[in-house]
Amino acid sequence: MSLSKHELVEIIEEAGTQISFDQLDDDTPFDKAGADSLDLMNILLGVQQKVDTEIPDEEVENLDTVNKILAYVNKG
Amino acid sequence: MIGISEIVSWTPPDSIDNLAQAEALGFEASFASERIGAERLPQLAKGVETSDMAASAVEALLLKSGMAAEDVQVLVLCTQNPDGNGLPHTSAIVQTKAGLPQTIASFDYSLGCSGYVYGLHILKGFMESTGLERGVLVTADPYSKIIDRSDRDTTLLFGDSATATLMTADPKFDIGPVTFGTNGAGGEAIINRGGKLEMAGRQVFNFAATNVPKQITTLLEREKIDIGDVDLFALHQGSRYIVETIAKRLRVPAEKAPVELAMTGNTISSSIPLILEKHMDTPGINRILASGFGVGLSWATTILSRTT
Repeated sequence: MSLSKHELVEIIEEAGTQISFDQLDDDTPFDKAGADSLDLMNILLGVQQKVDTEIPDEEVENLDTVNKILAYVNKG
Repeated sequence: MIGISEIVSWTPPDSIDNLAQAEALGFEASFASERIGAERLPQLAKGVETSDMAASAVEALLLKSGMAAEDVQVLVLCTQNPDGNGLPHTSAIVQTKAGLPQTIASFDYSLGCSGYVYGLHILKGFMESTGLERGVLVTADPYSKIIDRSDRDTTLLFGDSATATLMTADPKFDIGPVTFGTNGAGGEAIINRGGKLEMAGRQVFNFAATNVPKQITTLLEREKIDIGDVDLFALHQGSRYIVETIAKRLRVPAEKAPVELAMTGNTISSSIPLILEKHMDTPGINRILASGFGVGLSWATTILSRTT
């Protein structure tokens, strides 16, 4: 499984979250860019469906930036 | 053919200020109003039972429809929070409290948020099988009985409300094609454990956002109905967020998939009939898709078509 940054950004856009993209860079926690817990669930569901792999609950807390999600999904 | 003739709801007069409740638990008030979508959560007063709210809904239905109590032939009640421990069945208690005749058939069935869609088909099938012509389907599932008000995962979501649907052989809406889904392996995501409701929000969200749009699309394709030809999507009002997510995934305009839980919260099996009650007499609303999903995990979708 692999996920590109472009694909992840598309997932975030498609999810229709409260994220303000001008405040979001690759290492900014999503909540600092306006997301709440519901948005994060929605983003991670999009990621799960894209890469066809379930993300366990215990990982969710750590997956709060673009780079962390990419690193997790692409870790091989 | 048996179908829907009338729908009436009964909601308790007492309610919780959900914005204040949210703030007391450390949330922004806007999380309750904008994301969950519930500003007030009605709840039964102490000492008021499930059968009382059900009987109030039945009485309101008889008043609105003009049907005499003695003409009701069957009463079916959907709940997972019955009077006492469920024995005797709550519908039998409602028979007496609502003044219905002793000649009626009555039974309860146990389902959560998919319960109304199931109930339409249960009662339609029962009536067509038995030749009965006047039936009442009641939804009454007061979660206030099992909510822990300190539980941040559940206390902002649920409100109490009962509905009563009159089903006759001379209906306003036919009850059409249906499709079901069950996944018991996910059942612990919404569970009554020791008398308290527990809910795993992420699992429930993933379940609903994944399965419900898929089921709706499958049903419409099977029946060769263009999604644009559905006038109203009566989606179970789990929260504003889940309704909007499902509508977005279906690419359905927001105005066709109303979010209407501000004054009630998530009322379990009552949420779909609450929407139908409000819209079923609106001109131009001729084809309605109703979809319920939750406890079980269980999900069910059906299509209702205006007869005249």
